[in-house]
Amino acid sequence: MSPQFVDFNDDGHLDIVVGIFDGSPHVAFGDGKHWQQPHTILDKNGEIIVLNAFWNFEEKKWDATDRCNPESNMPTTNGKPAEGHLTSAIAMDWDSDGDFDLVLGDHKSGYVYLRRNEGSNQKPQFAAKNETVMAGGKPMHDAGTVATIRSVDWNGDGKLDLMVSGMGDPFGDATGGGVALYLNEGSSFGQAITLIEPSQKPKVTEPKRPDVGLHPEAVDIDGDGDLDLLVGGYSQWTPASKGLSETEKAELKVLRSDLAAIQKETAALSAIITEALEGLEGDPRTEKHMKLYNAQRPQRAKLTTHRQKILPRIEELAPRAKRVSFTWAYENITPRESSGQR
Amino acid sequence: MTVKRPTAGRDSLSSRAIMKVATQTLRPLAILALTGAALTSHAFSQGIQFKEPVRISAGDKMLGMGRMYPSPAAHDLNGDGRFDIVIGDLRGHLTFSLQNADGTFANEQKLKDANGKILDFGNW
Repeated sequence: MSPQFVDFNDDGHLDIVVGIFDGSPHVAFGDGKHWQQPHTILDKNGEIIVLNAFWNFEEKKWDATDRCNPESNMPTTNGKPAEGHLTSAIAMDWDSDGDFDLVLGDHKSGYVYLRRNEGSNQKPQFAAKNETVMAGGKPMHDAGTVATIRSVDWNGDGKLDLMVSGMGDPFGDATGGGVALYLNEGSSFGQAITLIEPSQKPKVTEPKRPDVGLHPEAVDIDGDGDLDLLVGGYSQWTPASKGLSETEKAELKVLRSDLAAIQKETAALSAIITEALEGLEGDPRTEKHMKLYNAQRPQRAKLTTHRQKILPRIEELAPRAKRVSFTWAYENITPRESSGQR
Repeated sequence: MTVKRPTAGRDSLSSRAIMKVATQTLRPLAILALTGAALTSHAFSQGIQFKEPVRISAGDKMLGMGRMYPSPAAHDLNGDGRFDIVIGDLRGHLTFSLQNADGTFANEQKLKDANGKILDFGNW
């Protein structure tokens, strides 16, 4: 969810536009002092603006549709229509007609789409179909799937360019996310220019960069007249483990054994509940579950306390891989004559 | 797809860039400012270069630490001419960290509506 501060309804106050994980864009209108609780941005037919995958509020489940497939330049994955899932959205006057259109990022398949506003900012009428955003003659695409999109006039030519960032492999060792820039060439976008290389997740013992789920913002952090980057994302690293003495090795063995016993006992408690709930539905099931769980609380609390006591020591003796989110600053040091910025 | 480039903030660019990188923690003195001589864009082929990234602190914590997919936005929330940082996350919550006069960032606070309720985009 990348917040964008923009006067979406043209009332003179900045609003907040976001795309969120439910698969649709939202806006929180501002009055200059506060923002109201957000609501979903709808198309001209009153439908939620989605790609293909979205959270169905009426049926309370994830749902899919093909009504939002673009009519031309349809992106595909393995020959089939791409499974779009919108998680990012920005407002941008795409066609210079004085109103905000929506540019939508696809977290599932990595494409970028456009919903054109056929109305005005005061009375938006968003089209019922997405259009595929093209770059260099092909659908704009991030191999790591889109984490978010940002509009920025990177080169100061008066036209908004697009930054597209990648999720990358969220948990494993495969390639992580990066950030690409697409320059606005007037009627289309150019090919991707790498701002941040996708992370190859080298084995490091401390956080070195955002590796996964990169969310950039361009701003002149240091006041030197060029655009730097703020980037949110997860870093992955494994703290260096110290050499253990024989005593420590023995201690670690005991602690791990204790931890395994705790896990086994916890699983056994859960199994008792599962078995007792078999065949029950609705309120009787909920009531029985609560009754059994409450009866187990003292035992579970004891196990939790024990686990909390030994885990830090295990971590100290044998650090595990870390995956923690931070916000990073990238200072632009491109020589002025090479920066492309004005 | 045209845009007017933003002009500098009111106490713009009297200040020079400061990026303290020594401790892997950034405390920038930062003002949004986009001025300078015009350049051609052909130079992109030579590559845009950034310093090794540094983590940003907010008060006594790391900004956005532990949030689900933190997503920063630079915005001057209190109109003091310095950009502040708003962080969105996967859960649909927003926090903000005001930039102090010395370029450091204050502790994150939750962004609330007029009734004091947390602004909540997470409705799924």
